[in-house]
Amino acid sequence: MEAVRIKDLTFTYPGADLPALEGINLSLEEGRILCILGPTGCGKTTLLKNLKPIVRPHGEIRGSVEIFMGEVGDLSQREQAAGIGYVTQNPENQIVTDKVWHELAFGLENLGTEPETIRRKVAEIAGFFGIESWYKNMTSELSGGQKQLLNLAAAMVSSPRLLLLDEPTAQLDPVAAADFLAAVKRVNLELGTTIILTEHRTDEVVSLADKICVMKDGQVGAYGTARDIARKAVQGERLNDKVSLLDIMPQPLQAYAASEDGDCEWDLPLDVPSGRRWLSGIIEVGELAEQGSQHFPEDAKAKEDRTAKEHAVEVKKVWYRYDKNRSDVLKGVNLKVSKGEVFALLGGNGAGKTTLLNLLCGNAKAYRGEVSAKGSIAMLPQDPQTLFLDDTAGGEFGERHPYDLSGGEQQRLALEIVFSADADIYLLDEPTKGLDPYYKKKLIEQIRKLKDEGKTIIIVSHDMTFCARVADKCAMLFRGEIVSEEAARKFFAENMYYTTPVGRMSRGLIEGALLPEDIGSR
Amino acid sequence: MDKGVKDITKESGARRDALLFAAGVICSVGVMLWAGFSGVDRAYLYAVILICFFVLAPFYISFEKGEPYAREIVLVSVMIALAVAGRAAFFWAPQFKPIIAIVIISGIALGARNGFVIGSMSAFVSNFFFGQGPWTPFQMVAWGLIGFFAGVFFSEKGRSLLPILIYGALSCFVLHGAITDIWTVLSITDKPNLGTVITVYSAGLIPDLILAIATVVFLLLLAVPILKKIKRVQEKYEI
Amino acid sequence: MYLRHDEFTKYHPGTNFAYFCAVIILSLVIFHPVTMGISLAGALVYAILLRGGKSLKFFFSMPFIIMILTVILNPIFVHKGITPLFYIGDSPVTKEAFIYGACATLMIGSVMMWFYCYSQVMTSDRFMAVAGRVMPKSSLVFSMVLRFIPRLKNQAVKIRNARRNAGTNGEAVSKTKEAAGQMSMLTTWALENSIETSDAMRSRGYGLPGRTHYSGYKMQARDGVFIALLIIFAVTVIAGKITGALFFAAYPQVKIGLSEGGSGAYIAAFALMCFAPAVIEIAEELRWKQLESKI
Repeated sequence: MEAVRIKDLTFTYPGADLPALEGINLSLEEGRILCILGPTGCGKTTLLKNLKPIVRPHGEIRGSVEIFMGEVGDLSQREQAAGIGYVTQNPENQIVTDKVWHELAFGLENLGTEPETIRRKVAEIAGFFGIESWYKNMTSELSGGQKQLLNLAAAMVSSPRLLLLDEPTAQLDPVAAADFLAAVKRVNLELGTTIILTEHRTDEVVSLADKICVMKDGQVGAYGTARDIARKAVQGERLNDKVSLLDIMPQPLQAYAASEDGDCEWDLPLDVPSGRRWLSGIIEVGELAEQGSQHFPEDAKAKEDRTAKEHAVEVKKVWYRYDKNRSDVLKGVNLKVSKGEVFALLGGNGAGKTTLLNLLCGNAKAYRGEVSAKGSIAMLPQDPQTLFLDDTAGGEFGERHPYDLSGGEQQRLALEIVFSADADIYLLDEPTKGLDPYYKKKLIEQIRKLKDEGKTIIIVSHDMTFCARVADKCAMLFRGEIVSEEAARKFFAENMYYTTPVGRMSRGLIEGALLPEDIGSR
Repeated sequence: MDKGVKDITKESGARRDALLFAAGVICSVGVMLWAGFSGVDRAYLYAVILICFFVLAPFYISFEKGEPYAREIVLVSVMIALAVAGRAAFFWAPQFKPIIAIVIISGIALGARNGFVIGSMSAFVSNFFFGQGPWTPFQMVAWGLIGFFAGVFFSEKGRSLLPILIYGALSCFVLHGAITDIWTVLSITDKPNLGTVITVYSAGLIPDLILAIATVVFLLLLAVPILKKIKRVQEKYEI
Repeated sequence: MYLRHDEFTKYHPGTNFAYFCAVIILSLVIFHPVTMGISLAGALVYAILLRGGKSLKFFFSMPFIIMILTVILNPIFVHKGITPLFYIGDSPVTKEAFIYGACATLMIGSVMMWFYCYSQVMTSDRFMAVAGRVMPKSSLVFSMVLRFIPRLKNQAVKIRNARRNAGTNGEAVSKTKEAAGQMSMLTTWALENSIETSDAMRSRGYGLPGRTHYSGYKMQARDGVFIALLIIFAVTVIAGKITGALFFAAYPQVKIGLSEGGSGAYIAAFALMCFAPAVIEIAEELRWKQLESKI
């Protein structure tokens, strides 16, 4: 049976000249996972919202949307609330109540479920998602990943047949995102729930989805299995003038497309294992020995430069904790960043990266050690909304209200505000959050330009490919200590796990390759 | 077509609300008369406690019985949270808080009934952090009425800020000061007594004055921008 | 912070709430020096049971000061009574006014201390378990407010930090203006993000008729027993008030107890009420001791 059938759906926002969705035709079998991909503003979210009229924005609708053989517009609010789960991007804004248990019960209370039944269902769902240990907690005490898992659990508590997820991992770090997607997979595998999700980051999702739909300009650009889409991507399909289909595909596939080497139509590399299969097939045994350190020539030069240059930021044996009775967040951190350097700080959650940034810019004080910075500092905080003072965005967004912008646009506005500060040192906390491939490229150009002007840039990011592209030097922070610090390429080439997908894919096969283009230029 | 929060409040059960308030007023007057004529010991103390109840009940029944609109309940919660966080987080002097200013702004933006709920809930919730006491119900009534009258007297279309500022300053003394301390005055002596009234209220005069100054300052700085922001969000909800 | 949970707190929140209502109302209504003293003693004992030395610190920081004030103010301002002790100017300070003040002071102290105990026992989610049944919408607002407050505080810090490094350092902005600017940013943030919260609520069915209420607490048999006893004791005490056994008047002349049979039984009932949490605690303690000795 078909879970979803969309016929000629066209949706136009009030006052808009062009429809946001145009002639969408799509069908999905029950129990499948469909992933909708596409660049910012292609209509992914609008399409998702059209599947649940309670959350659908006002606008003109033509065509039909059927869910489980019934027209979605005919479903009562109760049927929609119970039968269609909906989780959006921001984990914070979806949590309504102050306690985890209450949040789980909230949907059932609304549906008028008897307290005794609520007790049972809440217990079941908490067990299924492994929430027992924080069941009694305040929702404000949870980590971002836990919050989003709670939102998923709260949506699943009324056992919906269809689950809609709108960029659910956009605000999560890679580990939490992987955990979340694993939970989504479990929901599908164990309960048979039909799932439709939109995604930005495709590396994890492509192997998860049964079907993929790529949208461009409000239309279905491609629909099929991951391999169908991959084939189209390799053929050079474009999504708009800025982004090609390949740009949003997993990096192993980008590497394959860049190298044009070997023929594996039958097994296009979409993830690390299939990437290794492809690479090991095209590499001659003898070739391995030649590789060596050919990818680090610029590093030796960089090292020379650094010794000559003055330090822009110096951190000497810094210890920090939030208050006297808590454990140390930073333990004797030493760090030197030269003037005109792009420095990336990596590490897992709670490693102390953001804390270190806060120390650098004076938001926090070390209780031991010394922090010195030469020159003025501008900082991009993790939350772009903390920078919006005015009711108009300005710049490229003109008169629009900052809160009317999408997540990615807000990030771009925040970057614009920070870069306009004309500081000597820029601290960027997760600068690529929500940016699509095109704007990531632009950001890299912008950072390089600042570097050429002699500005110092310190980046904290989970986006390893981005760091590998832009950084001169990288350091890894683990539990408040710097465990490794190296020139960027060397850093990633020597890391086993903490490196780019291409790095993991080519380990032992092509030394030092980190980016798709490295494989291409081999 | 959906309606703004204020319209919802105005329309739904206006008749029921009128009856409720009439009942509340009649009961309050009755209790006052009883206190005046019965000659029971400490009748005035019991009377004000009962009146507290008769004031709170109609507003909360009206709020409970009103249509459960998600956007109304979210805005009400946000404004209460802002008021309480303002009481907890600010500023240069212990009484220098934006809380009354926020309650007044809420009343203007979200209507008189919601203004009462926001004011009284702000008192109740913030006392979870500052300590509940016999003063809690009185403070709830006082702040509730501040929000209520703000909603009755002013509309967001009003041009001039001055009347709002005057109201803000006066309400700190007349509503906040007088009502919150009434239980102390009436528990000390068996009948209302001018001496205790003057002693207790004069002790509260300086804090009330600081609160009034804070209210005026914050209204001056925040009233126009926050009213604009609430209006924008209400319009955005309707899209 | 380590919070000690006494046995009575483990009862159903509804039971706790009924208990505090009963003792506070009776303490207000039964204006009798002995019961007032018992009430204050009961409240103090329970407060110590709940919070140890901290509760005494609270007692001496506020209720005690108001109590002293009451003892002083009443005889100064009220000149009723027939037994003058001394004169201030022309006004007599009477023994009756002094005794009334002492009695009022016990009442104020006991009510404040009962409220203190109430605050410790009726934490937000316990309060909600009671209020949710009667006032579902307000109690949801209450829960949402408690969700928003930590978020607001968190965001306020983030905004302050962000503003410090947003490149505005050079501009001379007054402190008040900057504070108001940040308050305004915080308001925008809270209001704008609330739209998504409201969408999430509707998506999960908020607004449908027939909403139920879930609290996670379950009434036990002992809650029934406790409430039954509470009613019996409360009715007894009220009967004492009505029959005049618990009568007390200070003016014009101090007068205690009107009925023939004395007031012992009524006072005992009230005392049992006030010390019930302590009694429960001791009983539980003994039971555990016994259990442990058996092992």
